[in-house]
Amino acid sequence: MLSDVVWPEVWQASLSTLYMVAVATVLAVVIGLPIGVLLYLFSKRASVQHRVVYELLSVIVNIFRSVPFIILLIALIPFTEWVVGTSIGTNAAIVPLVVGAAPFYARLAETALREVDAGVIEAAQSMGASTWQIVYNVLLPEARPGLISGVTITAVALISYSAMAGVVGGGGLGDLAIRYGYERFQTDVMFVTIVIMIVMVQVMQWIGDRIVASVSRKRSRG
Amino acid sequence: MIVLDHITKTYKSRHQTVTAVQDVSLRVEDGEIFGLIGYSGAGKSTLLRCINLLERPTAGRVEVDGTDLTQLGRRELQQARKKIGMIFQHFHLLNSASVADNVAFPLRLARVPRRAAMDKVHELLELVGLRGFEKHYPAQLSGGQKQRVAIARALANDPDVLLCDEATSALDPDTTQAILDLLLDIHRRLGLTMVMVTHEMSVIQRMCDRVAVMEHGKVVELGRVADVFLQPQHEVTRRLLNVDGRHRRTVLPSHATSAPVFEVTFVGDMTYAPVLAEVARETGASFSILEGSIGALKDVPYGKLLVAWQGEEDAVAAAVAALRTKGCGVEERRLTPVAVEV
Repeated sequence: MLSDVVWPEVWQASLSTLYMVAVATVLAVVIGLPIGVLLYLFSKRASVQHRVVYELLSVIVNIFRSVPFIILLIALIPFTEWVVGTSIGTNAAIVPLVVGAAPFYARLAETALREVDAGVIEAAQSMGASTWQIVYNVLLPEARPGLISGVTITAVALISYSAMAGVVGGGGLGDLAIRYGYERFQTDVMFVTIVIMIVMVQVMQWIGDRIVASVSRKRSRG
Repeated sequence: MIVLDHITKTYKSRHQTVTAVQDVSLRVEDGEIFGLIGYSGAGKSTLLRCINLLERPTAGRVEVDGTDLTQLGRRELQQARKKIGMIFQHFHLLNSASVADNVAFPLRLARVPRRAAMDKVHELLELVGLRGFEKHYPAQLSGGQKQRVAIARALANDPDVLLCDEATSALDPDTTQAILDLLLDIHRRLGLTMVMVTHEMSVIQRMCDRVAVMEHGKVVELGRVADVFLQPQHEVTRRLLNVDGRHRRTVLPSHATSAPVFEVTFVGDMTYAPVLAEVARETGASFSILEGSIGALKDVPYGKLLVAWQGEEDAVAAAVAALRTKGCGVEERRLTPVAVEV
């Protein structure tokens, strides 16, 4: 039982996965949140020009979301090379992860912002708030629980995306599972990596839920 | 002073054009409490929201303290809005911010330093009776307390105007009274101009100096509250006041059914004077009061009595004339007797 498992390699692969997911999550949020805010703002404006910009932005976001990640990974190789100087390795894998996850998070952010009570925004307008003051002081704080659950969902999705990073030599648990578990028929390696990934997802979900609960606590009665 | 000059607001959708406000002109004097009343859909809230341009009128001019708001650029309008406070039916507080931060919010928008802002916040919370609630969150407050926070927030920038959009409509009767008292108190202390939208005549009666009655986007009656209240002209006003008594059952004594019945109204100090008794003594006619109410319109006492006069025809005519001379409003009423089972 578990005789084939090379534990130092498993450890190394786990760290690679965590590294890719962590960096990609941060970058996806940093890029996706402004896009989500823009989607929200443009969808609210009545004028024709704003509708056009919204539809355009929306289509671009959807294109990135509809391309299967494995295709995106390969299609983006030239872009990756331009950004990080190489198309091979863990850092190179992060680029397509971010490109795949940022539009995903943008949509989640847009949805979370839509949940904010229109009356509160109107109240801020009546006080003479500018659009950016409303974004910063009203929309983002009021939508915080939804924005944070969006981060959790994105991070969990990125764990699964990162399993394909092996294709560009990115390493990580998914790569380990394919190389040992699938190609060398070492089922126990496959088993161990899957267990580790399940634990990662559970822990991330738990942390995310705790953070959401702590920011929501004050808002609910009690 | 607020001047609304030929305001029209229409909403266009693909299939139809809805006119919410149709060519309304009115003027609210400095320091006045002005009421806008009407049934839902009458356009009163839309008109109110035209004052701070939350709704931009399709046509017309909005002037607040000499500035035509419709001509301002975006930044100038934001600046002008800081001097126009507004409160809402559903309070619209930030759920993610404490009471203190909610009240400080407009100060933060105006980039007032934190320390000065907090001093102001404490002063305002004191004013609205919520001292000690600084660290609470809106979800922990009752409706009345939330509206108090909203009032404090609306006053943070020392506005000259306070707009109230159905401010008490979501509150129970006791809380409504408390909030109206608070608004009157604030008005007395700060002397700001207030415009109140409501569908409740009791709110107008208690708070306002003048009132505009709206229906189908138009002002159908406008005047001093005492005049509109005691001598309503338009059918909508009468309905709001329930003058024609759709829900009222006046039980007539059998001897009164043949006697002429008059609605007699008193305003001011004469409300408490023995006017009816004097007139009866002078003219020899006798009277019985069938129904009536005596109360106050804001600070002005008023009485509205349904009086049946008995006696010689000449004596009754003399009594009516005497009442008019003394300054009472007298109007003959035809009552249909209500069959009452005893």
